[in-house]
Amino acid sequence: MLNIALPKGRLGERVYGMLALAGYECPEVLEEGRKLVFENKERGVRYFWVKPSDVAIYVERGAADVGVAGKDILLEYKPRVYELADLRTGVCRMAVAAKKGFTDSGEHTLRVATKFPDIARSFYEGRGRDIDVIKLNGAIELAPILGLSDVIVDIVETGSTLRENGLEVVEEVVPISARLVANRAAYMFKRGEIDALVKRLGECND
Amino acid sequence: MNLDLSVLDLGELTALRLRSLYAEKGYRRFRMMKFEEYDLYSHNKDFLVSENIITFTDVTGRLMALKPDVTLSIVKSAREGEKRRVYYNESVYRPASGSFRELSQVGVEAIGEPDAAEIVALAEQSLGVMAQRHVLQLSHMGLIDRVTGGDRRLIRCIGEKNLHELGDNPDAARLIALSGAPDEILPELRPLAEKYGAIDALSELETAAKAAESSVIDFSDVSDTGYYTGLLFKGFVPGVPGFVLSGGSYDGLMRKMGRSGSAMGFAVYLDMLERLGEEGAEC
Repeated sequence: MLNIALPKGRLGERVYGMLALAGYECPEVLEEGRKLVFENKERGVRYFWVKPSDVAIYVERGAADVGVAGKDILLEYKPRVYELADLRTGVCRMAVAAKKGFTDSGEHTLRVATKFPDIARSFYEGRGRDIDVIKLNGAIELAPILGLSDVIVDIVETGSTLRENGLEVVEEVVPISARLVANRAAYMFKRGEIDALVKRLGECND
Repeated sequence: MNLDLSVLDLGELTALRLRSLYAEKGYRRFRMMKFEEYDLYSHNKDFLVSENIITFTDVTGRLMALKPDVTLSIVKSAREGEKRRVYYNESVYRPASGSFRELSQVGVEAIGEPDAAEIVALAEQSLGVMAQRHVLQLSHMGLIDRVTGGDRRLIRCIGEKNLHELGDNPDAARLIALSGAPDEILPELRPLAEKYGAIDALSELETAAKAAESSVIDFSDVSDTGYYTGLLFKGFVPGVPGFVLSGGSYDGLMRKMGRSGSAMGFAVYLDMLERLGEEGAEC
């Protein structure tokens, strides 16, 4: 029996579709309602809907054997888990964005607003650039518009939100996508099941 | 007076059982001082799991620490050339989940000419004390270092079983793929070991595998500190989400502390056992 943590929302539903195709179906999962735990004994799977930024915690602490988490969460929180596959869905990028036409004169400390302070710090440390990190929890695009920050480090998909707000991507930090993660201890005892899941997912989605 | 062992919790009972096991095998009890000079840890930061240490100033004005680690103290107290087989049962103080915690550790250290087979067998027996079903994961930093050339990014990928971010590194990919029962994996490792001049590492893995019954070869146990440069092993029991036992050979630390000779040991993290027996081992 594999315990699988899925992120609530479109990405999780899409990943569930991939898993169902690979033979791990549990149709109840997509039903309307508030139920959070679903089991299909024949297929040997139990699914949980989890807040996307919490999946890695459930997996790290063994409440789930495997889970699906965005690379942004993995890079920011660095949970001690195995990263077994890039599911190549939920593809986007972490990027530096700023008001159109912004240039960094390098003269003063760059103010960076972000939901991902660790990612931002590593990125600028690699550049030797001194920064002032402003951790925000949402609507990050507002920060440079109101002069709270010079730039933002945030997830960019189509870029339309940025454009609508007069912002543009300055440079890409790292590509992001959904990753399959596994608990390290669970792997020691359920290696056959977990390897099989990774293999079947890979075959079905090529 | 008859002793009623049922008043002991699982951690305490396990500590007693392990200590009897080690004493039986001829290991002597090593008792640590409560506090160590902070210098010992500040000079060996890389060896520690975390740089965060609880410090205080003692009555003579020295900066002291609540010990985050036991191995360093044992090596420090061993004279050059001295051979020692000791066990300990100590508390260490480490940051966890945003604050400091007192963690209970029982462990074994063999300094001088450690018998790897004996120590690996003892590690497995320690797991057996905790649970019937258990896995001892065997890895080797010598082989990993030579195949990756010490490249941290590659080592990190191997540590995460991350094939998709490896790039074009077929030998590193091989180290990830080669995971499983020693009988299957060791022969497959030979060509790789020969290619990188790591036959010594392979034979150390072979010795370790022979000494344990439920071991797996799996290179996702990595250490990039420069202290653990040889055999590495971690122990798991069902129902506990992380390793309960961690060990390896740490000749690198011996050199750093000016000692010749080899050293090997392991520690059991009793606090990890807290959840055992609550819901039954597996789902």
